[in-house]
Amino acid sequence: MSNSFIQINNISKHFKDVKAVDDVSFEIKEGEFFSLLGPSGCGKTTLLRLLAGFEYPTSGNLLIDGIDITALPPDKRPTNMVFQNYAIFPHLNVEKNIKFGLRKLGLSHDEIGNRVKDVLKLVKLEGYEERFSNQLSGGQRQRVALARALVRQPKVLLLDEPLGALDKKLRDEMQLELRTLQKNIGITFVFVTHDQQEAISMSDRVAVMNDGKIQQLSAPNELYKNPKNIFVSDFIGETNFLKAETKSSDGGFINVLIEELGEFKIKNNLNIAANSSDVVCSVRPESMMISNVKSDWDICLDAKIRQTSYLGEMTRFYVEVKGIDKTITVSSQHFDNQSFENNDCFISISLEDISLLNKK
Amino acid sequence: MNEKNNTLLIYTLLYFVFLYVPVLFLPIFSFNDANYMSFPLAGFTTEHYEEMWSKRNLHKALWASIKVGVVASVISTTIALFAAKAFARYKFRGEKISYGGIMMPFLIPEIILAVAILIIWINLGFKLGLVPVTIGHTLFCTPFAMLILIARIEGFDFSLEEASRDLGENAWGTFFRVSFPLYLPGIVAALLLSFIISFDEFILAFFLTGSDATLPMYMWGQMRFVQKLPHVLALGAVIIVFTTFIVLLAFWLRNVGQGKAKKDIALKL
Amino acid sequence: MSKKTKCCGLFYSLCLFWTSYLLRVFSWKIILGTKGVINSSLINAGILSEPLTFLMYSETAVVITLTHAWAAFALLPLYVSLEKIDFSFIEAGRDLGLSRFEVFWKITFPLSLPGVIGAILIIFIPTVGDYVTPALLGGTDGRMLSNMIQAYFGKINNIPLGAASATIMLTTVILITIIVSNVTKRLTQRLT
Repeated sequence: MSNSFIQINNISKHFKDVKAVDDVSFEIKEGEFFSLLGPSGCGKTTLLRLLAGFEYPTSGNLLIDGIDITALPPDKRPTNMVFQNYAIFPHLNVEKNIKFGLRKLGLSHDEIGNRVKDVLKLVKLEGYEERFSNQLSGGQRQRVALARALVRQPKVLLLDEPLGALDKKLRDEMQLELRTLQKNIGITFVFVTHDQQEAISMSDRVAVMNDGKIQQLSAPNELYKNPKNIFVSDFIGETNFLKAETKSSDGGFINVLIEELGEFKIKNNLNIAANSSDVVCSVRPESMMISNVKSDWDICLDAKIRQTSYLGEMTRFYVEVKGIDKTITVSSQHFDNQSFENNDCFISISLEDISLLNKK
Repeated sequence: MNEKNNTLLIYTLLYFVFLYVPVLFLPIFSFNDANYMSFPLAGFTTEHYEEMWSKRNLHKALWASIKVGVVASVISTTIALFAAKAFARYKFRGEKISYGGIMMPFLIPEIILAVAILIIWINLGFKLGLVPVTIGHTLFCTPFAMLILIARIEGFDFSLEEASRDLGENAWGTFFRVSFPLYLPGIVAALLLSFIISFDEFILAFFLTGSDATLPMYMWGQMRFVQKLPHVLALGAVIIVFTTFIVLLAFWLRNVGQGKAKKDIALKL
Repeated sequence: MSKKTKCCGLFYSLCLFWTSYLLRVFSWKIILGTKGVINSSLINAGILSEPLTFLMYSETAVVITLTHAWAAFALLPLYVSLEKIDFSFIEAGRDLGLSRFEVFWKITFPLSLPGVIGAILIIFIPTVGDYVTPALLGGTDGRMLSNMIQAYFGKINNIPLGAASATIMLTTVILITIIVSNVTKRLTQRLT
C-alpha cells in the first residue's frame, strides 16, 4: 500500500480568464474512497476530468501509481469513469456496452465472457444483457455505467456525481451499495459530488473545494467537528456565526470577546492571532440546548422563540437573543412543542462547542 | 377553451387548403381527357402517363438529374458532416465567418449564385454542362445538409464520445464505433434532402446546363407548349409523389433514435 | 394541441415546401391562366363570356403565387420562436385578467417578434430574386429584376450590365439582412 497512489502536483487549469483549478496539490491513497466536494463551479468536476484525461492541465502534473499521466490521452490511462448522465451507448445493448472497452485489452473470448458475467453479478444486472439504455431505469443505467467501467479493472474509478439523477430513496440505497462494492473490490474511488451528506457518509477522506482551491482535506468527522475556515464550516452542515474579537493568547487557548456574550477562553486549534477582529465564532445548532429553565452550562442566554419548524427527528427553533441582530438556529430532539412561538426560553452553549475561525 | 379552438381549427384547415389544393390540380388534370383545364372534368385517361415511357429526352433529363443529384448530395453531405461536427462541438477562431461562408448560398438569392458561377466558369474557359451544375448544387445543398446534421449532432450527448475514449478507444475507433452509428440517421436524412433539393433545383441548372437538360429544365421546356401541358402535369404528379415520399423518409429518419438521446439529456438536466 | 399534432402540422406544411418549386408555381398557371381552372370553369358555367385577363400575366398573379410558394417556409422561424415562449407567461397573463386575444396581442406577439421578422427576411430573400414565377406568370407587367438579369446574360447578351444588376441585387439584400438581423438581435436581447 503506497501512501501516494495518486499524486496531484500543483495542478492548475485555466479556461480563458477563469481559474477552474488553481494550483492544487494533494495525494490519494490506494484503495481509498476519496470525495471531491464543493458547490457547482468550484472546480471539482474539472479536477476529475483532468484525472480522466478529458482536459489537460495548464500547469502541474499528475501521477498514478508512480507513472506520469499528465499528457496521456484518456484511452491510455489506468482510469475509468462513471459519467454524470451515465453515457450508456444508446445503439448498443447492456452486454455490448460492457464489452465495449474490452476489445483493446487483448483478452481471450472466454475471459471476456467470464469478466462480463462476473461484473453483471457484481452490479446485480444478470438477465439484463439484451436491454437497451431506454429500457432501463435510472438506477439500472447507473449500474451499467459502473459495470462498464469496472470490467476493465481500472486502477482508479472516477465517479462524476453518479447519484445526482436518482430519487432520494434510491440514492440512499446506492450510497450504501457503492460503499460496500468499493470495500469488496478495493479499487481507489474518486467521487465528485455537491451533496455534503453523500460525501460525508461514503468517503474515507473528503476534499472540500471552492474557487478552484482545496479548502480542507480531511476525514468526514474532522470536517464537521473541526472546520478549518468559514467556508467549510458553512458548507458542511448548518451553523450559527457570531461576531467576535480575539484578545490575549494563552498557550493552546485564547481569550475571545463574543458580541454581547462576554469574554471566554476557547481552544485555539487553528493558531489564530491574538488581538484580531477578523475572526468569527461558529456554533452548530444541535450543540446548543434550549430549555424552559436556566442551566449551569458555560453560557446561558435569555432568548425568545420566534419561529419553530418541525422536522420529524428533531425540531428547529429560530430564536432571538437580546443584543444579537441575527436569528440563532437551535435544534433539539426533545423540546418539540410547536406552541412555543413567542415564548421566552434559555439557550445554553458549552465552550468546547464553539469553534473559532478566521474570516478569510 | 373550446369555442376559441374551433376558430383556430378552421383557420388551420383553410391554411392547409391554401397550401395543398393548388398542387392537387396537377394530379387531377393529369388524368383528365382534355387539353384544357376546366371543371367539370372531361373523362378519365392514363394516356399522359403512358406517353412518358416513349419520351427519349425525358429519360435523358431524368438520368442527368439523378447523376447530378447523387454526386451533389454525397459531396455536400460529406462537407456538411465535418463542418457540422466542428460547429456543434468546438469553439474556434473564425467560427462565425466560416459558418456564414457555408450558409451564404442559403442567404442570397439563388440567381446571384447562378450568375456568379456562370461568370467564373466562362472566364475559366470551361464549357457549360452538368459539371458546373453539380458544383452549384453542391454549394446550394451544403447549408441544408449542415443544418440537419448540426441539429442531429447538437442533440447528441458528447459524454458518449468521452466514455468511448475513457473505455480505451482512440479517436478513430470512437468515430466508427460510437459517433458514426449515432449520426447515421442524420447523415441519411441529409443525403436524401440534398438529393431532393438538387433534383428540384431549376435556376442554377437553367443558367449552367448548356445543352444537357436536367428534369426541371425539361419540364420548363415543355411548359411553353399548350398541347404538351397534360404531359407536364402527369410528369409533375409523378415527381411530386416521388419527392414527397423521399422527404417523408428523410424526416422520419431525422427523428429516429433521437428519442433515446433526448431522454439521456433530460436525465442530465 | 398536443406536441405531436403540432409537429405533424409543421412537418406536413414543410413537406410541401421541399417538393418541386417549379411545379408549385406551375399549378397557379393552371388555376389563373386564360384557359385555366377559374376562367374555363366560369365560362363553362355561363357566368362569364370572356376570360378575366387581370388574373394572369400581372403583378397580382406573381404576388399570389409567391405567397403560396413560400407560405410554408415562414412556419419554421415562427415555430422556433413560439416554442421558446414559456407557457407560464401566457398563464400569468390569463391569471392577471387578460382575455385570450389580449394575451396574444400583449404577450405572445411581442415575444415572438424576432421570429416574425426572421420569417419575413427568410422569405424576402428568395422572393426578391425569384425568376420562375415572374417568367411564367408575370407577363410584361410583373417582370422582376431576375428576369432582366437573365435576359442580359441571354438574349440581350450584355454580361457587364447583367453582372451590375446582380451586384445591385446582392448589395441590397445584404444591407437589408444586416439591418434586420441587428434589429432582431436587439429585440432578442431585450426579451431575454
